[in-house]
Amino acid sequence: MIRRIRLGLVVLACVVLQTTLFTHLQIDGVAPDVGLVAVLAVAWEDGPDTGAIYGFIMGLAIDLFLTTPLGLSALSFAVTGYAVGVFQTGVVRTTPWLPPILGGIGGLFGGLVFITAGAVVGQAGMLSFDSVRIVLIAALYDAVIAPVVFPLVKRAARHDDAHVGWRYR
Amino acid sequence: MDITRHDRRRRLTLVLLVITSLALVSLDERGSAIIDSVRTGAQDVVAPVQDLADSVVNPASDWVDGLGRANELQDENEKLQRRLDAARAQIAAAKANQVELEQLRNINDLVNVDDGDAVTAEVVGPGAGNFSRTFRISKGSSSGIAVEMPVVVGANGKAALVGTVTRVSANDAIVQRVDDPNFGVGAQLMQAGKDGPKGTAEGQRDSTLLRFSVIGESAAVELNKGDVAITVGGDRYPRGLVIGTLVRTVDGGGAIALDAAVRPVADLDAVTFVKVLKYPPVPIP
Repeated sequence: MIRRIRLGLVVLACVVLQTTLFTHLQIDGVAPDVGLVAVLAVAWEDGPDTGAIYGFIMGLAIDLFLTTPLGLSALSFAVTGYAVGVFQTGVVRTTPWLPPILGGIGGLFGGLVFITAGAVVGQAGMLSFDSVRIVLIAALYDAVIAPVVFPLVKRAARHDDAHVGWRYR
Repeated sequence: MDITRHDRRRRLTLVLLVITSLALVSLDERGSAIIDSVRTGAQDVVAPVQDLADSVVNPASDWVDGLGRANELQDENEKLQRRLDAARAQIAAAKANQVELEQLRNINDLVNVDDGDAVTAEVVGPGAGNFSRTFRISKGSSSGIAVEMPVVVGANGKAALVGTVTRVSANDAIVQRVDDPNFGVGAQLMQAGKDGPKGTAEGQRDSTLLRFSVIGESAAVELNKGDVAITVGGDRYPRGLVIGTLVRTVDGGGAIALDAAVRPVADLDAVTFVKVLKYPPVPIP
């Protein structure tokens, strides 16, 4: 229960950061997807099910503050969370470079899903060079913020019974 | 066996989430009152936290900008640099005040629009989202602002269209800029003071210029650099709001250039004050 509250607070924090701080910290007019990076961290910790559901909730919360249709970020975050969760189940070793690598690749994947889904539902100019430019810059930016976001989200996502020392998947 | 069942359940979860997302997109695109009210409610709940964060972030952002400028003077000695920085800060502040004053003056007396009950608001900052061009303003529904109201600035005494209200909460609103790819407005060119061809002006993904497209092909149509695009008028916009100036013709695919690039009158990244027009006007009972 407390874990859910912590993860809910992460959603709120991401919404506030995305709509305030990162609108001022844009690179070439592009901000990172801090919410997506948080989803990547949760999906990496908990696998595809939680990754997809948390991605959906995070995306929906972010969507409420965007002018793109409600559900578009939810869809792309859910698919990305699921994909990272599936990928994680097949990984045996991790590296300290994991957060930036995952942030970059996950950001790229999520961005591409977003513009593809956006184009499918009729958003103007989604499949364009400018959209690809935005996705690439955002993915790089996600890679940069991931080393900061991952440990924080990992703490929030820790299971309340973690002291037992064993977890079954 | 168990693993297969577990995998199926996972995939089913994902499929359900994707279907729910697409259903929400479809509902929102059609214009759902429930979604609008949820959005407004969420905005109202988060707005105090946003305002608090903005009050911290905005001065810090200004400070970082100032720091960037100070780096250019690193070869100066420290004392002179401090003086120079202080002087520059004062000048910058004075210039910023001058610009703001000018913008406020400009939007006070607009000759081409009835703005008696319009609401003047400050631009708080850019809107969120990489795939839309928006900005947030300091007033919302408590000041009478509603979705789809036109937003203008003053340019040489005339009202110039900079966007339209797309989201509104009690104390702030999101304005979709005219150069947003999903923005479109009925437009007419004014050629040497006379009515020119009618068409549409739309934002473009790859450019901050608007694309003016003539409606109905005609060999007699001529598009000239310097033509001024204004709103045609209708349910959503009053007639005569200045949209921008034609900078070049664009190959529209036919033998005659029936498309053109239009530069918005205002620098949309530098707007600090705007006026929200209460349009269409509420009929007097």
